[in-house]
Amino acid sequence: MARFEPKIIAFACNWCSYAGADLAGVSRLQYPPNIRTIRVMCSGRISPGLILKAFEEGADGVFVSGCHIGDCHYSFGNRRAERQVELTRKLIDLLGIEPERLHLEWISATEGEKFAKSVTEFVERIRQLGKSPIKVTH
Amino acid sequence: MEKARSKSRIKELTQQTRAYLCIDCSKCTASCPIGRVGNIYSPRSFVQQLLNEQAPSHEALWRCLTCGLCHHRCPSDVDFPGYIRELRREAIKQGLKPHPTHSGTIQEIMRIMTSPDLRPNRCSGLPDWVEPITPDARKSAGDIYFVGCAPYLEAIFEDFHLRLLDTHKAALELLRSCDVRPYVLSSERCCGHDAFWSGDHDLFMELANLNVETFRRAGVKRIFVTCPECYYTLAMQYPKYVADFPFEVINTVKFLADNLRVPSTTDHQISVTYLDSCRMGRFGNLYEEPRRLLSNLEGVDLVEMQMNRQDAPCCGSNLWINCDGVSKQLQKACLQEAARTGASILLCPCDKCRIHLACAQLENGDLKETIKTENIVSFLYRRGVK
Repeated sequence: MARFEPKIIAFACNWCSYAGADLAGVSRLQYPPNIRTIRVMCSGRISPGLILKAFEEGADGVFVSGCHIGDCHYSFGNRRAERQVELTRKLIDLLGIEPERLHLEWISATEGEKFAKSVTEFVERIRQLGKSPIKVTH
Repeated sequence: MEKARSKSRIKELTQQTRAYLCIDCSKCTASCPIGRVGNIYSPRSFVQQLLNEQAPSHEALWRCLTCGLCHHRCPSDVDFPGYIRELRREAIKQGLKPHPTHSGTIQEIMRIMTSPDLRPNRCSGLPDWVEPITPDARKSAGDIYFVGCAPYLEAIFEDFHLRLLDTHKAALELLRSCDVRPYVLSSERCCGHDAFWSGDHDLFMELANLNVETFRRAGVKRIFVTCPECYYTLAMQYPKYVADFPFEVINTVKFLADNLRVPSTTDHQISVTYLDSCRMGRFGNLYEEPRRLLSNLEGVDLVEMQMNRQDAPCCGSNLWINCDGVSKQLQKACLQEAARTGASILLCPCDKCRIHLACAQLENGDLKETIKTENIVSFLYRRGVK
């Protein structure tokens, strides 16, 4: 049987993490192609609704990344992201989805290597967990 | 073609809800809570437009709070909320959607719950003696308690400190003191109330069928429900739409009013007021049961709000689609009216009303000190009713 290839949505903020992903690219670092990156202006824009929508539409895992605490382009957006991700983790746990399927990582524009490394680890973790139990029939 | 089809459908709905009986008296517009706080919204002109085959605006369609006050006062008995619901159903079929609040979190939760293989993990926070039944357990449950979305709402609105799970803990403890020991189904889904009223009928049916299937598999006979929205949906809509619904749905407050023994403990004197939430009162017709419970309590003085029972004010928001300045004004009016009674606690059977009112209190410092809200069931339990 073919190896399970998880589908993962990665949210990356415009100012740090997306640039970090870019750096990983131009540095020709290898990471698995399982992530679909979505750029947002700030990680603070991520809400439980958005993360749950990703799961609803078939994501096996969601990776949220933003600037390090203290570095946010909008001062405190990443603080907000932290709270929203924490809340979403509680909600998916109640729904019966492993909270480990949602991951938050601070990645700066200079941390291409960290981006590649954390994505690789996350994809591996989701591969271990297997397919998401969500299959919306509606 | 599509337009013609939808036109004939609107005519059909006009027949069904008897909207053609509208005598243009405008009692509905005068009663409508949205109209009252200065926003231009008129059920009358909405109906008249449709009778004259003009399409009302998309915004007007989602604006209605479905609180049912207009229907209650209409001399021709036009079911305006029912009309709105059916029109929303048509709109959804055509791909129109309301704008959800809270970034659509609650709608996403409802949709995710339609996954058949989901094994929700939602029974923590209930009393230890309550045994959760998993979908794989072969067991004849008999009595169950339907919790509803409280665990999710408690997580989302944790900052409001409303302790929403206390309502259900209290309800379960009070039921136990009436010799009922219900199980809780761990894989219970959302009742579908909000999907039903938002016009997303397919989603409502998915959730209803999943729930009924779970009831059947667990050998359920009686279902105890505290949330007025869940009660309304399970008791009044499921039997209409689900082919085979042999279960008895019991409202906890009504059951307690009939079975709870008169308390022997005397606590300090307290005056309370009571808000008839729409699904409990105008839709569920349970006005006297909660009042009977309160009047039996020693040391509790019930002071009615100026607008009570059928005329009760609206909490200003519903279905997680309607929230704006109008909602805030309605919440303010409701809190101020409750405060005018001089009571120290506003008791309410619906925790969603409490969330909406608490939101207004959180945003507006002046309202913070107006009045405290509490669910009537947790209040009873706190007063030491046995």
